[in-house]
Amino acid sequence: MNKEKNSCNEEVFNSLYRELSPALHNFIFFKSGNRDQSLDIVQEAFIKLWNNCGKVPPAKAKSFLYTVSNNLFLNAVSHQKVVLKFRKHKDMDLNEQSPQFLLEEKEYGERLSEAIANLTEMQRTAFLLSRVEGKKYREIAEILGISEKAAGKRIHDALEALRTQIEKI
Amino acid sequence: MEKKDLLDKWLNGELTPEEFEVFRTIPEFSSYLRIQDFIEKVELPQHDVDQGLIDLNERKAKKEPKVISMASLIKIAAVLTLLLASYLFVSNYEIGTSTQIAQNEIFLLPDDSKVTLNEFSRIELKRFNWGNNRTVKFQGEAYFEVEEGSTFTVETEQGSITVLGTKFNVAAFENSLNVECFEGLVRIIQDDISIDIPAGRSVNLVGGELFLADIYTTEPGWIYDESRFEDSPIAGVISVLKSEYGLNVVTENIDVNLRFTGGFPNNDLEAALQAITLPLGLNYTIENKDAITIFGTDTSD
Repeated sequence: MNKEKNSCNEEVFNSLYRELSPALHNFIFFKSGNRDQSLDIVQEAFIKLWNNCGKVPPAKAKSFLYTVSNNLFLNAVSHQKVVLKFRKHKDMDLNEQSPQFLLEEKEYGERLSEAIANLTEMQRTAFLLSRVEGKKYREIAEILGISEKAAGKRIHDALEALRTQIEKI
Repeated sequence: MEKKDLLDKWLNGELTPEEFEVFRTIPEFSSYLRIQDFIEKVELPQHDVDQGLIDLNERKAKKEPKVISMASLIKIAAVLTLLLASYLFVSNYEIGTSTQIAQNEIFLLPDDSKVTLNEFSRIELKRFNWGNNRTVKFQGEAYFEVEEGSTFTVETEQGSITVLGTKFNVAAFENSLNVECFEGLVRIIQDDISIDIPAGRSVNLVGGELFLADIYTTEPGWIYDESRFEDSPIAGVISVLKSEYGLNVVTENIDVNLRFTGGFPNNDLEAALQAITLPLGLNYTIENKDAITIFGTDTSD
């Protein structure tokens, strides 16, 4: 921060939103699997940041937002099964694929989605933060409030769980 | 390098090209790669930052003048809940008494009304604010002397009795409700039946049937520890005798159609037996408490 910036400043607050909200949205989505609910939680978390802007300097905003979002998620009434969907591989021309291949791909996607739904919430969140967002262990550990080693173990375990579950018929 | 370390480095994006060559030889490599391939194409929620900011600014404007936070609302709700719960607890708090075999008890109500309970009876009433709603729950037999005032209700499983201020006896047992009115007027309500009976009359409701009769006393007989009968079958009289004294009574050569009018004391067995047998021309023997025989003289031998 170049100057003594305050989260209560409208511009600072808006830039925090631009910078942090997309990843925060993904983070809650990984946990809850619910698009609408996760957007609500993001907005609610930023409202809380605004209401506490005097106490939370911009440098602390990120960890504040993740903590608040996590609490809001835990308080939310419905935790549903997290069912992820995968886009078609866009670099492949659909016309060139055999129906057999397409079917296999679809089945694989469903199996993977089911396996991800079966992970624990902690494993899933850590794993998706790492694999989807490409975050390093250190950052994941910070977001989840755990040690780097614990974060790595969760990601490991999640990957192994997915692999064995998909490969077993 | 260990497989686990390689995997860690791969997951953390730290593999050098040389290490990657080693990593791709491990058996699970293709599985990992395929999972990664799919995971990268997971459909994420579309987050519209500009729309989100607009929404946020609306909510900021709305939220700012708020006075009561959720936390204090919960506190207020908790206090109200506690008050309500204690009110309900106090208002439903019941007092009462019950009697056992051969036990009478006088129970004074908060308004000085007097209830004399016969044996095997139970009365309950709400303690709080009872004066505004004089209702008692009752089972068994009791003599009520009610002070004047608001409506007084005796609720029994067999029906309810409503009065203003009067003296009456209630006997509410399994399938019968007997009410004797000694003073004033009482109203008996059972399901959709409603009857008013004046002083000097009694009503007996048995299985939906109604029997009205006159009474000649000013107080129920059991108050004086006496059992009274009005043209009752002898078998009923003997069963009351048995239960009052806790006896085993055997009968011999007795005409079952005999009917008895009168009373017997509940505290003097000899006198009670005489009171029953003499008017009907019967005899009795007492060998011990469990072997009492009442027999007719009018036998063939």
